[in-house]
Amino acid sequence: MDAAVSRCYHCDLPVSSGVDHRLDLSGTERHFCCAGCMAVASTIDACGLDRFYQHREAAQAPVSQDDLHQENYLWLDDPALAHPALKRQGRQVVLSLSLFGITCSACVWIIEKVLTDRPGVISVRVNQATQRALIELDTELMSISELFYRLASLGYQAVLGRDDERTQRLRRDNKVALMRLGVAFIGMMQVGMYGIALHFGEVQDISPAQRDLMRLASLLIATAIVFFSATPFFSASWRALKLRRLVMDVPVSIAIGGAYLASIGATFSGRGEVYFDSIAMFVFLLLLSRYLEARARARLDFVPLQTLIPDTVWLADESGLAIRQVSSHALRVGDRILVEPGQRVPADGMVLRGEGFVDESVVTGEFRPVRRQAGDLLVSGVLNGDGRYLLRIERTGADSMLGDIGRLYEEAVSAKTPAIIMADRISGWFVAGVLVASVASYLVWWQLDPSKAFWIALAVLVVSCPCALSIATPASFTAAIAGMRKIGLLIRHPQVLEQLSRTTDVVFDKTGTLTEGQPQIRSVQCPGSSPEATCLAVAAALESVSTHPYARAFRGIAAASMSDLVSVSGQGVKGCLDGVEWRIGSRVFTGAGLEEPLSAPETGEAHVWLANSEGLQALIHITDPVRSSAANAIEALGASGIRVHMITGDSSPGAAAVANLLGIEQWRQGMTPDDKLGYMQALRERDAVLLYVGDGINDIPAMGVAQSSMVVADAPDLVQSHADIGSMVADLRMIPRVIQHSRRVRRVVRQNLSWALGYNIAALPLAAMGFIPPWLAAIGMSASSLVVVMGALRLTRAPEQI
Amino acid sequence: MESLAILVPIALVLAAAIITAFVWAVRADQFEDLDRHGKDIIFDEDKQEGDRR
Repeated sequence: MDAAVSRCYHCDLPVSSGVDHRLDLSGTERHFCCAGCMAVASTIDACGLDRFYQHREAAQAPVSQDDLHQENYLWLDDPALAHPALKRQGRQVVLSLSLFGITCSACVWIIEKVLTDRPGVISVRVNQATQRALIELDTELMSISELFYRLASLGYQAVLGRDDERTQRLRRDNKVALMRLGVAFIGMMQVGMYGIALHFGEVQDISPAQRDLMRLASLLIATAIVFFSATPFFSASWRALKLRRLVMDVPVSIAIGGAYLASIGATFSGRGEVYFDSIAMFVFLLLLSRYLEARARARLDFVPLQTLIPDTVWLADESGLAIRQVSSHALRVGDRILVEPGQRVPADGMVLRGEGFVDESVVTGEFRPVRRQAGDLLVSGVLNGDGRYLLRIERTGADSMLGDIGRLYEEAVSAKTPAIIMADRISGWFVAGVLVASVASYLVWWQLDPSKAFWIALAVLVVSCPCALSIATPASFTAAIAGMRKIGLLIRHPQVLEQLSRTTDVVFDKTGTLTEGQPQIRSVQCPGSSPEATCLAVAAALESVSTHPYARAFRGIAAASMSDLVSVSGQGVKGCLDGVEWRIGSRVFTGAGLEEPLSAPETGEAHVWLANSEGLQALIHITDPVRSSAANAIEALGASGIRVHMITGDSSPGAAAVANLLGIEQWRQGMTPDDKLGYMQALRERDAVLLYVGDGINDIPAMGVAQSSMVVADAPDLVQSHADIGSMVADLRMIPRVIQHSRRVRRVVRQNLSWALGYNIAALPLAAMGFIPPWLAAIGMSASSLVVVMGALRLTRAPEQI
Repeated sequence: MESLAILVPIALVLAAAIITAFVWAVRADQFEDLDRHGKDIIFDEDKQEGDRR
């Protein structure tokens, strides 16, 4: 197979050249991008479940080998561990888990298949839609850590679920909404049949007895619809009226209530018209568009920031010796804790002992490591690289850095002017107008012909019923969300589409958004006697034991087999190959001398030095490459008249290099989450409509202040859940595409609204003059809604390519 | 057309029965995961094959 185009059999990512992970699966040789993916595929094959790869619909996420150790999960076996997702009953335990990595039904199948037959597993239920699993275990036969390990070895990361009140309430609400919708649908079919008979009977002289029988039957069913299915409209308009506001639900409720009461009157008095079929259809259509909208939103569950910090932490005594493991939520100011390499810091703390490099991307967005030693402050959420730290806790929970970021976000969001949907603005006036018109026509007709007054006033109310008007916007948004999903865009709030269409400025984060956010080897210079391949193999072997962020650049390169690997904290790694000592790391550590780099370095590039006893063997240039789609995307944005900004926590010359390369004129660097927030607020004060595109936890406050925010593909779930728009494809061209599509949505909404308003305005005077018989009013009311729904359905087509 | 006097009540009873069945289905979590079970059939034969190994 051609190495350049080969893709990982498990996660479908391209396999970098020089990587050599291959495995013989059922007679075919497969290639993998990393040892983690290979281990998972071999587990799946060993269970005889290799068909998984034929039936799945989407590729898996790449697997980190670090997750494949049962020791990581041993803390779960502590019988004293209390967690809301854990329910114990003697030796049995019921676990509610969130699973990461489920992409299609094949995933659900393989999890259930592998677990069901294991001794100790009593029952397994995996829900694909919510990515949750309910597993019942006999802990004597299978420990919780073994369960987590088995899930990890299939490539799914499990965390204890957060079955909090909010998710439970959402589930309950969803069920009730579904029942309301179902009842309205079944009722609509029934009443519709009687409706047809009654409309024909009107022309063909139906006998009064039969007419009344069918009207009575319709009444019964319509009663169920009005009092069960339609209650959300009544309660919403009641809430609005109490606040002295007119919303769309008010005329909807008046129309439903008025038509229902008038129809009851007509049924029992035998005079006038019944509207039960129109009520049923109206309620159903309205509920359907709202339900679909809510469901599209509920798929994107919100992940709180606190999930970032580890569940447990080692508490230390005065001298820094580990005492016991405690829950990180139980930490108090003044406690001493140990932070091991590769762990996240659970709370803000002062370093008492230890030194090394940490990844502060939580605060800065940069993967470039920062050196921290005794006396420095480590903030919560920071990823420890290679240091072993003893910390004294300074701030915890809501006071800590993570708590701050969460609060900044919440404040920014609550300060956002609520997106006022066009229809809601119109509806206030519209409602008032309709009510005035009905009353006026009643009064006028009272003078002319008192016997007709009530029926004409009712016809005015029905014909101008805002069904079409109230469905126009939600139906268009729901259709647009479905259309965007086809190309991998997830929209959290439908309202964001309106904001998006007015975007004037797009603000980008640099690292991980405009760039890949992963260090990669750009070039290798080999001034020594060893060939490049040897140097890379040695470097990969040495870096395999390093937790330094640059070590990621060497993942996937076939490593030489070396002995005596020793990682020297903050310096580099040394090891032996055939009796020769090699060192990789800083210039000083490798002893490569103090000579200048062999060529002028590209700005923003880092260097790793590799030397053996003969001297410098390789100088490896590591860079964070700009995404290939960035230039196109920025050009397309510029072409549609949108200003582009870049703000970044990076303070190195690399930021300028990226801005120059992409032709971004407005950029700032070295910004903290707070600075970013300020920059955005300044832009907003100049009436800019902002779209923020970021990927890191440090971007979350900025996401809150922008009118709309977006993350591109590989951002952590945590960050994705704070953005209004998520893209499952790592392609920045999605940004101009989504803006263009939102403009189309706005056009369709406008068309829909003007059609609905036009219909109502044209029909109203006719009805007021008594030209429209009530049955025609009822048909018009249903037909206008259908036209609007058809109009909206145009948006379900996938947005065009840019 | 006197048959209507019987047929309409029957239709009402049927509608009530359908609504009851639907409400039961929602309560019993039948609509919890709509994406998945349609594809169970694809894996049916695989299950047996897996067992044989």
